[in-house]
Amino acid sequence: MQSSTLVLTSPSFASSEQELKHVFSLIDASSERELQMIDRVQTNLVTLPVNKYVSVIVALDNANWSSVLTPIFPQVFACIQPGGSLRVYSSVGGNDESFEMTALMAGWIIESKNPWILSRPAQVEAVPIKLNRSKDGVSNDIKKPLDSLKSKKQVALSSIQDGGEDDDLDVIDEDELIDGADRTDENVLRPPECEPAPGKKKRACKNCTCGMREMEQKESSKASAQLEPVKLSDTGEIDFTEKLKSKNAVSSCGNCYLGDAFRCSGCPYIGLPAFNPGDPIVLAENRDKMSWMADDL
Amino acid sequence: MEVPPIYVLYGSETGTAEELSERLYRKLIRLGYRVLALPMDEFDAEKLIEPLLCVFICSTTGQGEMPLNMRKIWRFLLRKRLPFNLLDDMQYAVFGCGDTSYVRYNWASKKLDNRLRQLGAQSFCPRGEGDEQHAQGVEGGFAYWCTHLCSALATVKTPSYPALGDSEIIPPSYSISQYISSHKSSEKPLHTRGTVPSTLQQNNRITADNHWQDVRKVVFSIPKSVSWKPGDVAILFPWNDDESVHKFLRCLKWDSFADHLVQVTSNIPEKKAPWLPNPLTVFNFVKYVISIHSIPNRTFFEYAAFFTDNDMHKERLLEFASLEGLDDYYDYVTRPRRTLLETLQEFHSVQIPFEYALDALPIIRGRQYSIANRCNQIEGKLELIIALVKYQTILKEPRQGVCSRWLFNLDQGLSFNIDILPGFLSLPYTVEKPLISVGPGTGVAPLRCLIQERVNLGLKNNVLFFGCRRESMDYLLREDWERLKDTGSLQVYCAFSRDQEKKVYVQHKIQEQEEMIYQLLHEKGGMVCVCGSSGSMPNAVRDAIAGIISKYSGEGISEGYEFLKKLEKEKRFFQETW
Repeated sequence: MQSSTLVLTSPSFASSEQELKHVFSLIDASSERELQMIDRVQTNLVTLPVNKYVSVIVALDNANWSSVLTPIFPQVFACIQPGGSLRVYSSVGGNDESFEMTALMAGWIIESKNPWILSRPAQVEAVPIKLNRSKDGVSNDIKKPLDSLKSKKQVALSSIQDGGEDDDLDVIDEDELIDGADRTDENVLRPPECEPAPGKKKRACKNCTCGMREMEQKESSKASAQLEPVKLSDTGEIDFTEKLKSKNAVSSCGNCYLGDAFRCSGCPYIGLPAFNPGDPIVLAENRDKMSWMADDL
Repeated sequence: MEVPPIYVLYGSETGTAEELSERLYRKLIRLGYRVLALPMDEFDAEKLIEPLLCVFICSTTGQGEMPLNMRKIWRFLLRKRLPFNLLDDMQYAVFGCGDTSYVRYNWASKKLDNRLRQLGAQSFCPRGEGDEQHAQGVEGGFAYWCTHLCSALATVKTPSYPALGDSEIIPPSYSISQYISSHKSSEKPLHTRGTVPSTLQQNNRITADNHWQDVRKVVFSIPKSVSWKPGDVAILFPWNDDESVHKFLRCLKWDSFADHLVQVTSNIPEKKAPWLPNPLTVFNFVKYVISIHSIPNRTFFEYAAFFTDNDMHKERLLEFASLEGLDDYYDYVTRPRRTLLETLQEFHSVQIPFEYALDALPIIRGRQYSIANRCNQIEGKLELIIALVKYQTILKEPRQGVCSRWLFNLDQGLSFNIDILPGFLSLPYTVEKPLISVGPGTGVAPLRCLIQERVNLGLKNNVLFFGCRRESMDYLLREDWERLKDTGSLQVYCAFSRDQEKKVYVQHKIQEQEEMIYQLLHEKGGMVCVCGSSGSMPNAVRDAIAGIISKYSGEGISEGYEFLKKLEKEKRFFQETW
C-alpha cells in the first residue's frame, strides 16, 4: 500500500501558492498527498480515516495555531499510523507554552520543538496480565501487587456467585442511577439538530409539531391525485404497451421499467414492481377489500 | 500472548440495537481489530474483571427498562456487594437507542453508563444517544457517535490486522457444507423453535365479516403442566408460505439446490448459530428462518451492493446503505414497507451466496401476544386475541404483518412449538381490592386473563372499560363479559366510538362514572390496569382519572396527578401499551 501524507491547512494559508509549495516540498516525493481544511475537520464536515497516514503536516498562518490544532488532537492522532508523525508548519511562528503539556497528555511523543514534530507511539496495546505465571517461570516483583489485587476481585466475585438466590434481592435501586444531572447531560454525543444534508429534502419528525408533517401530507396527496389512476382490464391486467404508446405516459427518464428505486417522484408506475417494457402486468387475483390502517377506533 | 477481542455487547428488544452492533462489528473488523459481538446475557459475567475493552449498545424498553437479553447481567451488576473496583480494568463506551416521545428517554443506557462508572470502569469515549424522533432517527445518532468512537478507539487500542480495502468483503460468519444426497422426502419438519409444544385448536375470526379489521381468537392446546399468570405473553414463531419461498429461491438462484441438506457451523467460536429447522434443507432454511416478507435493513443493502455485477444497481444499493442516503432508504423501504422479496425482485442482479445468508438477510423474529385466558391446568388451553395487520401503502400489493400473513389461513390441527415469557404485571391483583381495568380493542386480551384469574379466586369487585368502533362489529369477547356480568363478577362500560354522531371513547365512559371511580380508588384502595395501543389513549385515561380525583377532592388538577403518582409508587397503577 502506498504511503500517504495529509496536509491540514486553512483557506487563507492555502491561498498563498508559495507557502503551499514550500509545505509540499517537505513531503517525500514518493508519498501520496491529501489536503484537507482544518475547519472542516473541526465541524465534523470531514471525517479523517483511521490509521491511514504515515505523516500529517499542519500548515497554518495563524499565530494561535495551537488553539486550532489541540481541539482536534484525537482525530489527528487516530488518522496517523502508529509510529507516524505530526509536524507543525507555521508561517508566522507562535509558541504556546502549554502546547507541550497538552500534547503529552494527549498521548503524543515530542520528537522536536523547533519545528514541532510529534509522533504517535508505535505500541499502544496494554498487554493483559494473566493470573497464571508465564511459561518461563520467572517471577516478576512488579506483577505481584497487581496480581493480588486481581485475586481479591476474583475472591469477591466468587463469594457473590456462591451467595445464591438471596443475593438477588440485595440489589441497588436502579432508578437511583438516573439523577437530575442526566437531564442536562453535557458529556453526551448527540447528532446536530435536524440539519438536512445539502441538497436533501428535510423530512418531518414523527411527532412533528411545526406543521411540516401536514405540509408533506398535502404535497403527497396532491402528487397522487395527479397520477393517472391505473386502470385494470377485466382480467386484472394492466396493459403497459398501450400506456407507453399513448402520449400521457411519456417517460422523461426512460427508467420506469426498472422499478421504484429508479423512478422519478411523479412516475405513474410508482408502487408497481419492475417490468420489461411491453409486458402486460398481472396483479394478484385475491385482492380483498383494502383496509386502511386505523389510527383511532 | 493473545490479545483479547473488543467486545461489542448489546441489549436489544426489537433488533435495532442488535443491528447497530453488527454494523459496528463489521466496521471494526474492517479496521483490522479483533472483535466479538454478543447479546449481553451471553457474555460470561466472570470475564468482566479482566482487562477488556467493551462497547455497549442498548435500547430502552417498557417503562425505562433494560431489554430482555441483558436482564441477567444487569441483575448481576446491580448487586450491592460488588466491590467498587470490580471493573477498573475495563475500558468502555456506551451507545443508547431511544425515543424522545417516551418520558424515560434512553434510561437504560444512562443507567448502564452510570453503573459501569460506579464500578470503576473507564470510559474512553462519551456516551452516545440515538433518538427515533430525530430527522435521521437512531441511525443518524449512531453514525455520528460511531465516528467519534473509532477515533477514540484508535487512541487506546492498536488493530491486530491490516485494515480491509474498500473492495474486500468481510468473511462470512458461518460455513455451510452441503450433503451430496438431496432430501427427497416431503415430510414436513416438526417445528421445534420454542419450548412449549402446542396444537392449534381454533383460529376463528371474532369481528363481523363486514368490519374492516380481522381479529382472531386463537386457541392452542398445550401440556397441562404448563402454567402462566396474568400479564404473561406467548411467543409465536411464524413461517413463510411455499409460493413465496419458491419465488425467493428463484431470485437468488438457490433453487437448483433447494432440496439439498446443509450443515451450518459458526466460524466464530463464541457466536452461536440461530435456531435452524430439522431437516435442514435450503428450502426449509428459507421457509422457517429467513424473513422474506419483512423490510430489509441497511445491512442487507451493504451486502447486496457487494454481490451484484450491475453497476446501476450497485450504485443505488450503496446509496440506500449510506447515511447520506437515509432519506432515500426511508422513501424506498420504510414508508412503503417494501419487503425483502420485493426488493430482490426489483434488484434482480443481486446474488447473495448462501454462506452469507445469515449475515445479510433478516431472520424471522417471534411475535409476542398477551395471553388472554387464565391458566386452567385441567383444560390445558391457551388463548390469544390477535388483530391481523393488513393495510395499504403506495405499493399496489397490500401490506401484511409477517405473523398476520401466517395466521391468515393457518390450518387447525397443526402442531408446533411456542414459547411463554413472564410479563411484568405489578398489581396486587390477588388482594380483595377493587380492580378498574381499561382495555380498548385488543388491549382487552390480557385483562380477560386478569379478570378470569380474580374471579377464580373469588374476587368479584371488577370493572372493565372497553372501547371499539361499533357494538355490532367489533365488540370483542362480548359473550364472556355478559356471562361475568350475569354472575355479578364484573361491571362493564363500553365506548362504541362510531355508533353515534359524536365520538365516544373509554375516557368519556370513565368520566361518566366519576363517582364510582373516586369511591373505588380513593376510599376503597382500588387498583388500575390500562392496556392497549400506545398513543393518545393512555394519557387520555390518566387525564380523566386525574380530573375526577381533583374534582372530588376539591383541590386543583395537580392534586389529581399527584394522586396518580402515588398510585404508581404503591404499585396500584399498571400500564401496558404497545
